Amino acid sequence: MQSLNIADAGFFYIFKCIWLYYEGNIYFLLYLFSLFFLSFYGDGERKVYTLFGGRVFISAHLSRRIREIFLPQFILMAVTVYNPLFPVVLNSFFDVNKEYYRFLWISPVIMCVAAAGAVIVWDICGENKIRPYIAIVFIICLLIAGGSYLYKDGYIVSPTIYHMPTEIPEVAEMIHADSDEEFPRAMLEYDYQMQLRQYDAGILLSCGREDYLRAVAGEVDIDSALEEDNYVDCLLAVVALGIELPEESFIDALEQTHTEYVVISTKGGMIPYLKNAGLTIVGETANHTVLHYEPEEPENFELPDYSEVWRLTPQWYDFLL
Amino acid sequence: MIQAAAAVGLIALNFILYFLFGSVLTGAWRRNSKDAIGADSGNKSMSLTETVFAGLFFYYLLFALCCIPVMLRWRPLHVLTSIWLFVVIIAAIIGAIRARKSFFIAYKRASDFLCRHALAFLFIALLMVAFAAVVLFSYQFTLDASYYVGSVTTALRTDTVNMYDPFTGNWLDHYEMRYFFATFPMNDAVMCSLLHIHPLLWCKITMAGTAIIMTVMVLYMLGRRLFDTDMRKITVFILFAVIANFFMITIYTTSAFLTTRTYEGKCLLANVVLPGIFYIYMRLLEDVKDKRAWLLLFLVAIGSPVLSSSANMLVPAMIGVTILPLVVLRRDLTVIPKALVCMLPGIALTLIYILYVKNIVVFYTYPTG
Repeated sequence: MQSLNIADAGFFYIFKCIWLYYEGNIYFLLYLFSLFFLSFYGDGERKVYTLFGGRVFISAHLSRRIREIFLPQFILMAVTVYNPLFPVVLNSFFDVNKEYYRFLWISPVIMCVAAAGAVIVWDICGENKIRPYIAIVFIICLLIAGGSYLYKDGYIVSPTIYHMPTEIPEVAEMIHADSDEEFPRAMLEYDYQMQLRQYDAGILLSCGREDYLRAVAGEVDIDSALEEDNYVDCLLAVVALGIELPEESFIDALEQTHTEYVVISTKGGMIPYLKNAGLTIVGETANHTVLHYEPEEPENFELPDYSEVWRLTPQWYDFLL
Repeated sequence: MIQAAAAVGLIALNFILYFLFGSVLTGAWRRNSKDAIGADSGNKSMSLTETVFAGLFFYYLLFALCCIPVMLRWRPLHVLTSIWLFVVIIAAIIGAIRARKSFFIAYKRASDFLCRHALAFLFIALLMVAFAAVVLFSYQFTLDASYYVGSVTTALRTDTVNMYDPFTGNWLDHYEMRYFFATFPMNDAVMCSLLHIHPLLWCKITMAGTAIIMTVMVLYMLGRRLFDTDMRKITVFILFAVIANFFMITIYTTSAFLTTRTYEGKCLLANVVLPGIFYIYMRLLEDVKDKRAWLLLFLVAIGSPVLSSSANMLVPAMIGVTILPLVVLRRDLTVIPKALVCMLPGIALTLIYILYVKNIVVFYTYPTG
């Protein structure tokens, strides 16, 4: 949870954390309802009640067992993970700002809600032929209406069997076909940067994930890009943010980071700038252009040779080398 | 397309391996309590689902025991692959020998139960296939894939184990401790190397499918514990759980990991490990002295940090809040030392991580002495 800080939020952290975790959906409330429903329903012997004009059967055995299953854990969760004091104390020993929300995984929310649903369907409505199915439909509607649909922004079918855009393999192929290096280094736009090495680790990247995230978060600007020796920010300013920096600064950044290739959106409007800076077009995919820069000092990246290390530290399984 | 179909087929291989690894432990167990598939009290057979569940953790635990020494001695991936192939063959043989009798009894019992509730199982199977199909066919852009899949591709391309930064491809001078014991992605790399399959297909189809089926299997195990043999309730329980997983969505929830980051160890942690501990707790509720349940809990506790380093923190916490109430519920003080022993692996790994953050413990990718 990047936007939440235990030191700032203090004792309110846990409430804000729960709110962000569920982001307004009702599943935490459904969990609480299910928990209390399963824990306190059906005490005593099996009895028949009248509810909404129908007979309600209650199974005491089931209730007792289920109460022992869900309630004790919830009580301990309430005094620990859900306790406003707990994250504050824990954070004084370890930095748990980003990960505290994972403690909320411990609550068996879906299991408890689904179990309560099953009990409602077959124990409360089960003696009638139609009513269980009405209950199933009603609960499904509740689960749907109370949540946030995974594909609310549209279901995108994976364009390739590799679960990435068709252009990524094309870009990788173009770079390898053009480069003399075994491990050419490239700089790409955000989503391609994050995906290229999943497909082809034979291409090195000029900046890491955290650097790119800084750029996307607005922490990279002209000033930081033009700072001395801040070559990564310079590349990010041009490729990720579309800022036209002085060409010599950009070329210097390419040179210092040993970047040979820049892959950029064809429609983004930066291609004339890159061509003016001295880059040449290697090829184009449907939406992206691959440009090449000829470095004065090639990187000649090589994998370190460990053979001497292996010789000095012999192991019984070295016959497999 | 043939490659994608092969990747789907390899899901079955994973389950066969988990079963055989599980059989090494449970093959000779004779259950005399309620079985997860069909066995009634008093009948003696292994539990198929529990064997697969135990096998998952045993498999990854053994893998970590092979992988970590290879990393500490800077040996290449192909050495680890050969060692792992040897271990898999030995474990498969031992598992098959140990399960040779109990498997057929369990299989017959399971198939009898399946036939008695054919419609319910057909519905669950269709639900599971639909669930998997919807997730596996979808395109999801997630940042963390650049690490989890990237490290697999990088390991294969460089023939090394965790020595390069998956994001950039640059050489690392020390192992990143968050991933040092969580060798789950390196198992992906080894399997890709053995099966000659692209990491993206293995991770995003085979491992994602495996995680979904494993999740539904654990839901079924929980359903059996909750509702005994009442398949009507179990079916509806699984139906509601599957639907809820599509709607309890924010970037933080267990469901989001199950549906968008399915190939990560964290998905298994959130949807298999933690509910699995709940399952073990339910077994212990029935018999707090059930040695096999305690062994299974210890196996989960020691095996889960291999899936994700988040388990170092979450599994002890889960054991603390879920298992410790047994002290009061069953008035048995022996629960405390047993639970503490199960919490130890996670606590120890957390301490090692703290020492790493404080720069006291660092494992370098080259000899320093």
